[in-house]
Amino acid sequence: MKNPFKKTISKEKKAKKKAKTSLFLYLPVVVSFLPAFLLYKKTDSLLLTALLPVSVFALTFLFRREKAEKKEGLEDALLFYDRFYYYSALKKDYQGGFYEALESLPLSDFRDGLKDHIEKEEGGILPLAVTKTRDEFLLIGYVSSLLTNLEEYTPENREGLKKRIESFRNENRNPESGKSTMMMDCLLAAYLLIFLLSLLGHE
Amino acid sequence: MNPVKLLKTRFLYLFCVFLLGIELCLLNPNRVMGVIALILSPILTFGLFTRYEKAEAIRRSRISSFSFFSSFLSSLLLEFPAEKAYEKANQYLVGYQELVPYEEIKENPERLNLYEFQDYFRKVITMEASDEVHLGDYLPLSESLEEKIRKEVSVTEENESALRKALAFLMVFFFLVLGLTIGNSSISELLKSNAYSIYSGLVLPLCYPSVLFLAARKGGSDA
Repeated sequence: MKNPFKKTISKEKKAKKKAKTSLFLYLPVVVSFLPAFLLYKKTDSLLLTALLPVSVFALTFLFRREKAEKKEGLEDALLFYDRFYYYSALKKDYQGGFYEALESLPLSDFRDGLKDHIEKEEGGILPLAVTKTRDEFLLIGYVSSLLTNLEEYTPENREGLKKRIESFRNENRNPESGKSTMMMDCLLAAYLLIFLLSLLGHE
Repeated sequence: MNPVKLLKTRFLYLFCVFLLGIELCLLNPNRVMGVIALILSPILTFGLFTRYEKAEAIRRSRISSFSFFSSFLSSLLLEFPAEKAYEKANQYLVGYQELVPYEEIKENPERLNLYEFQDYFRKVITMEASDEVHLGDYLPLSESLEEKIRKEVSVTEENESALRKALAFLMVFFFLVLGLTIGNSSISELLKSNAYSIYSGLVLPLCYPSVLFLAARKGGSDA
């Protein structure tokens, strides 16, 4: 049966996310109008002036999209691990918990990839990697071993799974994403400066 | 929330903001700007308090849902029959959600809104239907619910403390300005300038509402 509350929550979240993305996408472009104006004053070339906001828009779009995709994948992965952990505990069975968690995931590339892998019976490591960090590989290895070795549910391996999920979550809670955003902003600022300096120097 | 009830519960805050508005109005050499400052701050504060209270109501509803589910699972862990566990846990939902008899919940678990724990509640109810309810391990879910409740309560406390601190800071700041204005002629001269009249008419009245807006945003984002 469908959850009537789920739809409204996800709609609200989507709208908030969209508004935030639009702000971060257009703000650098608006800011770039100031150097563009200075550039126009200096060079009188409308084409060069237009090139500046357009290229800033393209760069920001590319950076943000890459970041958004990575974040989305991470959220899906964390949701999957949480559900796997809780459903396995409810059923006291890791295999059953895995399938239950997979079925309960919302539609996403992450879920489709995992389902394809199981349907094709390819074997090997499950396609769960998103951030490709040490803690993530440790967690994937642990989940795979629980599933392939058909391990029985015990409080010990439950705690082991919890510990690994927590360390993966904490690793991604670090200001790593903030750092990468700052780096992107610095790159954009540097790009603007180099663009201006090279053009003014050329003149 | 009912505006009269809001006025009653947040009277002290709104009264202090109104006092600050009067002070800004009296200090402003431009009467129009003074009146704008007097009106703008309390109205904005009232509007934002309405939003803030809405977010807090959602938070309280979340806390009640999580407390209900946590109590339900704790009773199951103590091997209570599911129906008894459900009835015992129902006390947490009073005033927040409609109380539904256990027989109806068994047929339709969606009658209760347990936010992100809805799927797990449905699963537990399905397990009960197939007589497997005492086979599950509810400790992980129970721990997670306790953690969620702690977090929600601490956000409310943090928000309230931020509101109190911001108001106290603003009161001290404005009375300091008032004292300096009376005692220092050069500051009085500065306050007579046009730039200050626009600044105190449009920017200063926004100080407290901005803090409130940030708190309300924090309150709403998690809920």
